[in-house]
Order: sequence, then C-alpha cells, then structure tokens
Amino acid sequence: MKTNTYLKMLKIGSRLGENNNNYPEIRLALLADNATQQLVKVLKAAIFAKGFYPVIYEGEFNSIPLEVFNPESNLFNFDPDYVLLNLSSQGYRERFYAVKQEEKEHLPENYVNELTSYLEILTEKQCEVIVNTLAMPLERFFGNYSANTLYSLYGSILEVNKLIRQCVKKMAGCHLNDIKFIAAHIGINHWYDEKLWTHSKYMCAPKYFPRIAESVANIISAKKGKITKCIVLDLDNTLWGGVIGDDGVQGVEIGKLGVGEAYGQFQKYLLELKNRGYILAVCSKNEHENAILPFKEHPNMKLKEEDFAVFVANWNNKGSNIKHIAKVLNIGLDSMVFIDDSPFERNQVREMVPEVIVPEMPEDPSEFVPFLESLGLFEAVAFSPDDRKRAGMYREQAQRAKEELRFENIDDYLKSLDMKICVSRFDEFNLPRIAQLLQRSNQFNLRTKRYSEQNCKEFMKNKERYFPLYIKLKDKFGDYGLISVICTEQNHDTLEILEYVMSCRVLNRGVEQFAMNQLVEYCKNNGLTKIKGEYIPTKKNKMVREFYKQFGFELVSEKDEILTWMLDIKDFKRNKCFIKTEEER
Amino acid sequence: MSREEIVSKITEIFRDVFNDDSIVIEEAMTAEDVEEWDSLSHIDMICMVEEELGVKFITKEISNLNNVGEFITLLENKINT
Repeated sequence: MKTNTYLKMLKIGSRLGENNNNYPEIRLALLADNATQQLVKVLKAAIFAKGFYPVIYEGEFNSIPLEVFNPESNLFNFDPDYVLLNLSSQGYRERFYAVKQEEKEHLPENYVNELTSYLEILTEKQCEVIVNTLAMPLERFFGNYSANTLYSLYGSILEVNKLIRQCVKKMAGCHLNDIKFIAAHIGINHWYDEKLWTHSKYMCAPKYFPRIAESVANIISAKKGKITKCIVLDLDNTLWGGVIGDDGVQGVEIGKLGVGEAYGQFQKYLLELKNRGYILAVCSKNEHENAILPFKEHPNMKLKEEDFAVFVANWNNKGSNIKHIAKVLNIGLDSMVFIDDSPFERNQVREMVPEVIVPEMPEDPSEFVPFLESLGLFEAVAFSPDDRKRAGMYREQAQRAKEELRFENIDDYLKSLDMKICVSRFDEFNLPRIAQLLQRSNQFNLRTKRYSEQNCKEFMKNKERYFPLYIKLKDKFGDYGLISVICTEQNHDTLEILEYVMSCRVLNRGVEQFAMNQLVEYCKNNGLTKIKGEYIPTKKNKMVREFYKQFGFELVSEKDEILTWMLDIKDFKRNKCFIKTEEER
Repeated sequence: MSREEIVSKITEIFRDVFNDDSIVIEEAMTAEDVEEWDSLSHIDMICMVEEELGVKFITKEISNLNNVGEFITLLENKINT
C-alpha cells in the first residue's frame, strides 16, 4: 500500500463538505489510546465511499473511561449510532510494562474486563460498538516460547485477542474489527513505525490507516444492510482452465491437469461461500449441454450443478442474463458480484448493469482467491443456521420459476410439481406454528380473528364442536411446511368457517381446492348440509373478498363490507387438483 | 542524486502534502512559511519522502529540523552514502 493512497483519502476526508448526495448519515464516535486526527479524516473518506455521510466525533486522546463512564460526556452529548474503540498494541504494551511482575498473568483478563464494562455501557445506550483485536507485537522476550506464557507481551496479547473475541461474540451490538489480521496481512514489521509512536503516538504507519478505515466502513456498511448475496460466475477459464466447447471434458484443466489445481482451490473457496449462505449462479456463453458437462462428468469438479441456484448458459449478452438472474432470484443488482476472466465481458456488464460489482480479476487463477479477499466483499455481521439454508431456498425458488416457463398449460405444470399434501386435525405438536400462522397472515386471511395458541388448543380438544385443520405441503423442489389453517365450528346442520388463513407462497397450486373438497367430505360424513363462510375486510385482505364464490357459495348478506357466503353441499362440484395426500410424519 | 534533483523531488511532495502548487523550495524555508505545514502534515511529508526517495529517518531527525536547507543536506547525506 502506497502513502499516496492515504494522502488521497486524507484529502477527500478533510474536504467532504455538505451532504449534497443525501446519503444516509452515520454518526460515529472514535475513542482511542493513540493519535487519531488523521485516521478520522481517512475514516470519513472510507465511509463516504460506501455511500454514507459520516459525522464523526473524535474523543480526546486516551480518555476512553472518562468519556464512557460520564453520562454527561461529550461522547453522549454527540449521541452516536456507532462507537469505534481503536486500541493500539503500544497502548497495551504500556500497561504490560507498568504492572508488577506477579500481576502480569492477570493483565489480559483485567484489560478485557475493563473493555467489557465500556461495551456494556455503550450497548445499553443503543450504540453499535466496533472494537479491534490488537496487532501482534514484535517483542518476544522468550523467543518462540513467548506464545506460551502470559509473562511475555506476545503471549499476553494472544490472550487478550482471544478474550476480546469471546466478549464481542457474546454481546449483541458489538462488532470485531480484526486489526490483528490486517497487521499480519501487511506484515507487522511494516505495520509498525516505532518512531512515529515515539514522536506522535501513531499505532501504525499512516499509510495503513486506509486499511483500518475500510475495514470499519465494511462493518458499518454490512450492518446497514449493504451486503452482497449472489456470486455470478463465468465458466471457461473462470471455474476451469480451457474452453469446454473446444477442449471437451477430458481437456479442461481442473484438479490435477495444468493450472487445474488453482481452479480447484477457487471452487472450494466458492463452495465455502455457498455454505455460509451465498447464492451461486452461472452466466456463461456456451451451449447449455456443453456447459453442464464438466459438472456431470468431470471427477475433479468441486462445485456441482445443484450448488447453483440459477444456471444460465446461452449466447445472449451477459448484462441481460444477469438482469434475468436478479429477477428470477428476486434480489437487487447491487447485491451481485460478477466474476469473469474476460475483460470484454466484464466491461460490457459494467456498462449495462452498473449496479453489479465487477472485480477486475487477475490473470492468474492462483491469485483469484487472495484478490477477491482483498476487496472486502464478503462481510458478515452474524451467522446463523438459517444462513446455511438460504442458498438452497433460493435454488428451489428459481427452479419453480423456471419450470413454470416451460409448461404451456398450468395443469401440466401443477402435475409436474409432484405435490404432496398433509391435511390434519390440530395436534399438540403443531400448535405453536398454527398460532404463529394465524398471527402473521395478513393477505390470505378471511376474518383476521387472530386466535391464540390457547384458543387453538380449545378447538383441538373439543371434537364435538370444532373441526380445526392445518395443512402442510411439499413438492419436488422442497418442503413448504405448515402453510394453511382452517378453523370450523358445527352449528346444527351447518359448518361455519371461523377462520381461514393461508400462506401466499402457495397460492394457485390447488391447495384451496383440495381443502374445500375435504370440508365438504367432512360435512357429508357428519350429516351437515351447509357451509357458511364470512369475509371481514381489513386493509390487507382484499384478495380473498370473493374467495368463496369460486366454490359455488352464494352471497347471502352484505353489511358494513362484511360478506356472508353460504354453500349448499348438494350444489358442490368437486374440485380438480393435482395433489396427493400424505400422512403426517 | 544531486541537490537539484532532491529539490525537484521534494518540491513535488511538498506541493502535494501541503496542498499548494505554488510552493517553491528555498533553503531558508521553515514550517512557518507554509500554511498547511503543521505537526500532522509534517509526518505525512516525512512518510512521503521516505517512500519516494527510499530513505529512513530516525526519530531525532523528524523532530529537530531547523529549515528546508538542512533537510535537503540530510537527504543528500542519506542518499549518497
């Protein structure tokens, strides 16, 4: 990294001016045990480059406790959204040298306990806090043994970093700025400029301030929801060496052959991104049957066809294909990263869809991973089991969209979905999800009664009076889970529908038709002759105003926009549907 | 590297770091004579000179500079020894 880059950012940061672009404002307070006057300006430039307008409060040098423990401090008067605690290894070193020999062992714990108390106060005030790991020191009084003992500064900082990580992980609203990594990436021998610590308390050579600032800006940006979600990949000379259309499956380089090792490493890396929730898509200029061959037949391919949510191989321009992919997945263009070895394709995509991030890939596939890593595109603020499932869900969605296009008539399509339904009376196990669906459904909700779990339990138990149903659905692409709830009550010869909700995701699949068949069946078996349904309007449920009409219900009254519908069982014509029943597992 | 070459190189750096394209290096020049030359930009200037001229300063040298003439002599000695 050149000092010039730092100078440029310094200039941008000090001449920021008014928020003319109307960027969202970021109020950030910077507290540090080192000199930050120049870092503040660089931070401004980095945050601004992410599309935010920074307003930064810089605390006095080395006054973190004074600011944090005083509710009237300038820090709290400033009312920050984000607080950046920027801690230096040199600051820790001073502490290390200052404590008595017998207390050295406890220093990491004491230091992080102090830090934790700051974090607690700051997060209580609803600030998002960013705190860093410490760069490893050059001092190793015990040589290689230093890592093993808390009596060495090196071992002590190793311990501090471990404790900081643990503390940040368990505290909501805290984020880790991994300066230990940044310094190691640069090389600590270059990172530190000790004369500048001596002279002006600089934690590192100022040319590395941009690295700190960009790392912080990445965290803020991700926290604000600006994250990439999807990686769109070219195939030839991107995922493997060579051109599949010319070289054939035996000829392309992947795994052992030629530079195949490098492409293999790249594929493994992409697979890890997919595992953490990234959507992978293919966008290749190829015949589809050629493009698919290596995935099917090459033994060294790490990525398989099913790792991709969308697979586009045709001769259209890639800009249009990427727009199509965004549409199928229903994600924003600005959340997509396009990776292609060809400068021509990259430029065309930049021209056609400027929102898409198009990294200027290096020529050597061995450099792909380190290069992509250097861009800071893959920031995460959290990781949950749901993230792991996400890629699969997008794939299911894309496949359904694709299949729908292929079929001329909807019946054929519905048949091909191989839907399996499970209709069942309420049971204990499913009560929570039943109640949840009743609370959450807004659009497909006939009466919006919002029955509670307790109400549902009553329905379940009273078999004489109530006939409450839940419905689960799956198809060949995936499992939707519990998607509809119908609560009914017997009243003399009539079955009254107290509530009917369904998840809109499964609209027009024949689930409603199937359910109505079931209700009529029940009436016949229990000597009931009529079904009564009511529509109570809300702001959101207009779509089901005429819902009962399609099944042959007659409108019997309309009062205050409330519609009452009646069905005479003998007028009912059984609905055609393409769903098979399946017993509850 | 001749004194003239050094002057030409640091002229560029001074103009860039102190944000003033009209800066002309003079032997007697001090921080007083350049508007944006303060303790912060001083360090930026030192870092730029280290990188551009391939030299390293020691702590004493960055704190005790009397004038630009002295600075050029210092650089001359560092580069040519």
